[in-house]
Amino acid sequence: MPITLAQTDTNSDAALDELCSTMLAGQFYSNGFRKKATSGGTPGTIEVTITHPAAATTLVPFNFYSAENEPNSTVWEAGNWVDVIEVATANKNLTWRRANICRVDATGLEIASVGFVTLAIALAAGVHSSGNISGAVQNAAAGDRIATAPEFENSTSMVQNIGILPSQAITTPVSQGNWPHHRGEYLETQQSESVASSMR
Amino acid sequence: MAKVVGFKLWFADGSKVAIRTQGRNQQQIGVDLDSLPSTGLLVVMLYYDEFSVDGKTRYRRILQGNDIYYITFDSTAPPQFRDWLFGQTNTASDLDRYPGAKSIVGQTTNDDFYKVVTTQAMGDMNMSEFGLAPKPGTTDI
Repeated sequence: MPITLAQTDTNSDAALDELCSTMLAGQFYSNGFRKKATSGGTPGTIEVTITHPAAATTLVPFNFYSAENEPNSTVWEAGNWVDVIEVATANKNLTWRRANICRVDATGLEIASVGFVTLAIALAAGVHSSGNISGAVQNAAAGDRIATAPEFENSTSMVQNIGILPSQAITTPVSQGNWPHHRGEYLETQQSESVASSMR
Repeated sequence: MAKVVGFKLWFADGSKVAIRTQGRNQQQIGVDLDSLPSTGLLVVMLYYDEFSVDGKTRYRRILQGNDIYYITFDSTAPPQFRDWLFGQTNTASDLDRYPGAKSIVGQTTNDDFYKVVTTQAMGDMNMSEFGLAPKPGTTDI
């Protein structure tokens, strides 16, 4: 059964140098956030202010990363993804231009683009959906994680603020846990116990 | 459709004005807009009567970084949609569409002061300045 990732208030522990987008390093907001989105997580309730720098550019304001060993799968199914953003304090000088879904390694390093969609969503207060993002099948390492990266455009040459509530759900086509990560640990434990008992 | 219940203006001289809009379909806000300064505006924050999906965070909208801001009551809309209009533009002729609108010219300031003001605005959930009680269980204060 495909997992749905709940955006949370918790900062992600993933390494934070990658953007999960086509953009170059350094095009992340200097005060952007990286938070955890996880199956069964508690939706966030704390509004986060982010500031787009004083330039008419498109940048990545934040990322969400799945939890460690999520989805814990070596084959990510093809299908539709949906990224959703709740804007608590709107700013109509900012536009959501592109939604990216990426596969990153356990530390957050980008491995591959899963899919993206170009958008033109004025960031009024409320919930905004990317609509379907078609994702190809991914042959992954078991520890690979899901990451999202929206791209916002500032239509002015002045600093712009916006308030984001990390409260929404990210729809995925990927099923959780068909790789025996824990089984491996279990077998290791059994072997250790077996060795220990043979030494008695 | 969300309605604006109040708005706040932050000016370059450090002053701040909070004005309550008196509910839906109203023609007067009890404040003479012409008494407001016509220059020196840095930030406008609008406060809506709607809350986030979880009901805890009041929706707002910030207007900043433009040359001109304008405020008017949209009396030409169908009654159910009549509301205050707040706009921002860098083109003075845009105001021709809103005869009678109160306009305030924006001002540039140094980065440090601008950061202080915008941080204040983003953190300002104080509804008592509008004479409104905070909604229990929300971020209103």
